[in-house]
Amino acid sequence: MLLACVLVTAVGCEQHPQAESDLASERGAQATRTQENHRQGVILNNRGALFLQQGSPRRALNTLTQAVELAPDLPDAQFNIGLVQARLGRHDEAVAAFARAAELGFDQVDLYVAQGLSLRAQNRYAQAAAAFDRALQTAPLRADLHLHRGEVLRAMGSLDSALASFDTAARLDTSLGAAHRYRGELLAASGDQHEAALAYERAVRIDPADVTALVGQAEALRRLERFDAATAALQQALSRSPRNSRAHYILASVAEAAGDEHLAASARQNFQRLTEARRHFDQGQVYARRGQFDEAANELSRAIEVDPEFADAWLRLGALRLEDDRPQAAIETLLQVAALWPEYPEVHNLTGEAWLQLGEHDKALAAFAATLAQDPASVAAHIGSGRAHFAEARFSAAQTEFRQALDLDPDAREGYYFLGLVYAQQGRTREAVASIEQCLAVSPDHVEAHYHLGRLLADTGDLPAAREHLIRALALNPDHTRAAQRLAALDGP
Amino acid sequence: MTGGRRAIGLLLFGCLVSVSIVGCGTHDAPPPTATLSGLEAAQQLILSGQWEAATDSLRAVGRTGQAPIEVGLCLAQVQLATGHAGPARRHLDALPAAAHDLPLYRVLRAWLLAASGQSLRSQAAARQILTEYPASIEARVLLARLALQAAATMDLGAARALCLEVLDRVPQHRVAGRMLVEATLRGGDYVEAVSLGQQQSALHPEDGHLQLLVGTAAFWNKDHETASSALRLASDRFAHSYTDRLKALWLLRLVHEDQGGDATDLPPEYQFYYHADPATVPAIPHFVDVADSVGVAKVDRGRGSSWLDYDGDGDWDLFSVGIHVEHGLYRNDGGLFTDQTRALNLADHRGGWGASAADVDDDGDPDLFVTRDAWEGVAPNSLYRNDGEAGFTDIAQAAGVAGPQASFTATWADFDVDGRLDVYVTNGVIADGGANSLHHNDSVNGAVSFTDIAATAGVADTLKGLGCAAGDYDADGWPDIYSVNIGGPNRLYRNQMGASGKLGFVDRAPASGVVFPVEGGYVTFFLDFDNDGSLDLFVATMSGFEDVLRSAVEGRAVEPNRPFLYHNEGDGTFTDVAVLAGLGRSFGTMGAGVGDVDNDGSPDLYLANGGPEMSRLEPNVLFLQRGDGTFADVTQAAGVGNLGKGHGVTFADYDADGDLDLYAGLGGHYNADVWPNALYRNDGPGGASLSVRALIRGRDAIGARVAVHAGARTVHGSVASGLGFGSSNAPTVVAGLARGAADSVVVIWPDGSRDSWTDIPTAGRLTLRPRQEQDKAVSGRNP
Repeated sequence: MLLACVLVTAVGCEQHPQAESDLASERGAQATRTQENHRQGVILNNRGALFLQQGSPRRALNTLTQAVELAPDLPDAQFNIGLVQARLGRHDEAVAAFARAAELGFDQVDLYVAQGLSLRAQNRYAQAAAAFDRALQTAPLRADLHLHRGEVLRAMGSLDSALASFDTAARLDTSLGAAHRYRGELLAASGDQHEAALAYERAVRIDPADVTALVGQAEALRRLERFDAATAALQQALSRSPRNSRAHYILASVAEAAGDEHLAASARQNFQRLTEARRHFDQGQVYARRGQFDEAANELSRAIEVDPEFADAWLRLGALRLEDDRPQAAIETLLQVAALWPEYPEVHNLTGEAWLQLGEHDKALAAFAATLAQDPASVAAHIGSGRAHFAEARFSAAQTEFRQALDLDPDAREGYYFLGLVYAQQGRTREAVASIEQCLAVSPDHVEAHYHLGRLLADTGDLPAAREHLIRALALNPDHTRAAQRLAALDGP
Repeated sequence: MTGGRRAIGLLLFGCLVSVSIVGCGTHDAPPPTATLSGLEAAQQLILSGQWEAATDSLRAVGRTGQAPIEVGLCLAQVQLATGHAGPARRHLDALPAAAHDLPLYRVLRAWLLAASGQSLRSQAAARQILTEYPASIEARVLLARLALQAAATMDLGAARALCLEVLDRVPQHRVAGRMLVEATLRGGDYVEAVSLGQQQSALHPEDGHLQLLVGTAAFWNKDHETASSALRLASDRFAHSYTDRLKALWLLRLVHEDQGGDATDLPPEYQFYYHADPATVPAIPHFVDVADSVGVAKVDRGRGSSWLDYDGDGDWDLFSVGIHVEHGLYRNDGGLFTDQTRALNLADHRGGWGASAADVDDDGDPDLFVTRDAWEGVAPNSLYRNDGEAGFTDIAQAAGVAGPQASFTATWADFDVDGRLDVYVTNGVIADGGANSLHHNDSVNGAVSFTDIAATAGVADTLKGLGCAAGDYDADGWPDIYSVNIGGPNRLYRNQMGASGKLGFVDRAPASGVVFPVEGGYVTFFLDFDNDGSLDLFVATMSGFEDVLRSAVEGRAVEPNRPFLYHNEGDGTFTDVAVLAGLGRSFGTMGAGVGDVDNDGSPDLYLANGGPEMSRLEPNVLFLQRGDGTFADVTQAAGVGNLGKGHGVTFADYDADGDLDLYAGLGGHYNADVWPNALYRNDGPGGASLSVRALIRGRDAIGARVAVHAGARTVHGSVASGLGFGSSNAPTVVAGLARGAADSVVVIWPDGSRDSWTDIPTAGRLTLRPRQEQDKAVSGRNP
């Protein structure tokens, strides 16, 4: 494109008749290319949208990025990129993409909804409210939009407007429990405990498992001095969520007010225990984020000491030890967790990972199998199992596991990568190449994938492509000695 | 020479890449990255402050097994630069002995000392390295860091000089560039800081931190246009750094408001959003800062403050201390203040940190105690004896309370109930292992003498002591101590004298559930926030600015960095109810005070916030209690959201109009971070109050508990000295009565005896003495 422009300018200066003809011809060719690019862009956009629907946002993003490179003025592609970025939690990029889509004329309610949600996720409340308002202009009867609008207005402190939005949402969709719960919160905050209790009651009627609504209802009832009803709501909440510290606290207050000192003391102790353990857990997380593993382990251990049934603390301690390159210690912790809460799939995955690090492949396999027994859809467990089989040269079994992982998550880059290695071991070079290429489609900077792809392509005789991937591996890791050696071998003496 | 050996050779000169690039004098600029080895590429990234990329690169090199020593050192360097001392230490610990003499290794070890708070030792080590390796860039960078710190090592001129030396050798050294701008900004040369920042930004156009510095400097210089432009650029640069962007947006909001604009007028993408608290608030009293008009707008980088009646005329005078500047003693003359500092021999240029009042010689007039020098290092404390019209005399050395230590705050109580006030002092914040002191008052017949019995009494805590408070939390008649450690567990020292007959304490913090905050704990006080007759406990946390801003926009604390409000359950345990009480937000609280500003009978909280960074302009916060144990942030409506760095905040009804006024010592650690202290006069509306002053032998009965009964309601209070930032409210209990009237008053004196009075005035001021001392129920209102 740039080259063409330069040529046009350079030739145009000489004003040669032949040049005018060439210019016209070039313009025609350029128009054709633009049309073709647009057509390809549309195809890629559709493909990207399909990937997104299939739960493969990373592949979708790659495809959609190619689409907008070919057809930058394709608003649908920008919109889809925004959706993908939002799915990946990159709300900054999502907002930017939605803005580009809007600039290109994309004017559908879904755009404003998605934009509003991404803005809300970034706590950019006023912008989010504006986006939801824009969406409501087109779809004024959508209850979910009124709910979202109410949420951001509440965060901004526009409480009357927020309450009106929740009222509207609840009226438009009588099954929208969250709208009643939010109403309850605002009414309670404004001091209208009677109406608050009613709103919470409606929320609970719609969803009896809404523990937040149950606890809110109990607090409103406590303030209304309806202690029996409050106690009943709290017992219901605690039956569903026994570790809800706020429920214990309110129960203590209710019991104290009702003169039940024994219950009050018991509930208060529960609150103290749960919150103290949580403080240690939170502090442990802070230390862990900073890499202060010893301090983190101390705090997590203290959390467990205070509250031995704090499963998350146990689990985090195990993960921390794994992160700290202490797989044996991790296993010791994780085995205790597994004994206490065998239903936690994550425990077995972490245990499997620790066994893998120790080279105990069969034990790793057993751990991953435990996960899969509970959660056959665990991608990490399938990949872990595959790695264990692969390490034991059981390629067929490994292949099965990696395939299953990829069926479950088309974005599982390690699935493609290891599957490629399995194929390579089986001498199925073409399939190996294809699989590793898919890995790179999901994760373009996967150094080992570039290296192995380069190696495989060299074996197939595609030396330019092999060189390209080996160079890329070296660019990503200049000290990748195997890539350097391969490249040197390609270039010859 | 192999790559690894070459790198070791470079490291021996102590300057990493700088030697290869600049030290040899053969290159003006680094060679293109493509030609560098992985290690060199990583070192380049370190030089330009690209920590994440450097880590990735180093890990990649590490996987190849090449140059393990250099990789380990560089990884440790990156970890330290990003605030991860633990991993840095592990990297260094893992290195073989052969690495231990390398200058970079030694610099990083010295840096670790600084990371653990041992700045002076760190500085000495870095200086030694620089002596041995005069070309060392990293030693210079460390020394510059230390010279920038708000600590005893601070020397902004030296920081600038060191940075300039580094930049002279390595012009692209981004960290040195940033520090140069920062040092200039902290020194108050805003125009130069803007200029330097812009120059550095030209070298590093993608660096949002430099733009943030430019914006900050321009804001301080009231150059709103430049500030606004730089902060918008910073926000753009921080597109993928949530908390950094919040910093830029917050400052942009301040710039806009400073110009008289409304924050909502800014373009949406540049708005900083507060997450609102939906709960209703009670009637909010309004405050007006009258410090300037009444004569107490001292500029001293305000630290502790104390309200006292030093001249016995019945009104509240003010004592205020700051850093390395003479104290201020202001006599209250009917609501206007007269500076008596020099006239009364208090022009002590050493300044101080905590400032509390107590009558140590039992002569009926309050004396003054000043702690020093906290983060600044070891220095003697002062005990200024009140000699009446002759002024004040520092008798600390002779009395045995001088230390010296790095003392932060002090709290007074008669711990062994022998009728004399003892003092507990927190020490060791500079991580020098200095133990806290318990100075037992042995004075006889006015000859003031103290003995430090901390070790034998079991309270000689050697952690980094900061805040402390005294109170009889278990109501056994013997005052206990709560002591806050920054970077360690807090202590609840239960007084064992009742059980053993000997003054001694046992730490009950873990069993009582009051260990937290363990990282950013700062100041503390006892209070009875729910008026149930048991002393509750408040502990403030100094949270990082990132957490503060995140908390503001997300509407919840970044756990566990938040205040702690511990409710006393009466069984020896406490329950942290801060979040349920509406205090679940993160603040950079350095000082805190308690007082019932709306006279509703429930104590309210004022948090004095900030931090040393020049860009950290965090408002103080007033939490008004709703009367049901929950608090509402009413800062804006009350007009007390001062942006100056807050410390010793204290309450007193200085104008005797029946409501509590508020004094806030303000100012940061750096020369340029100065703010006049504020005196917020409470202009109501508030209900009636009864102000109770309890005296024993003519002195304020520190440690006395007061209960004012009004109908079905009881307001509990206590007389304390040495709370919050080692400061003192006026030693009265101002019992808010709302619309009610007091029926009776009960005082529990420090010796455990109890007196009660009826037939008292419905409101106003009341002075009470023990019946055994003076059989007089009500001495009448003060003038």
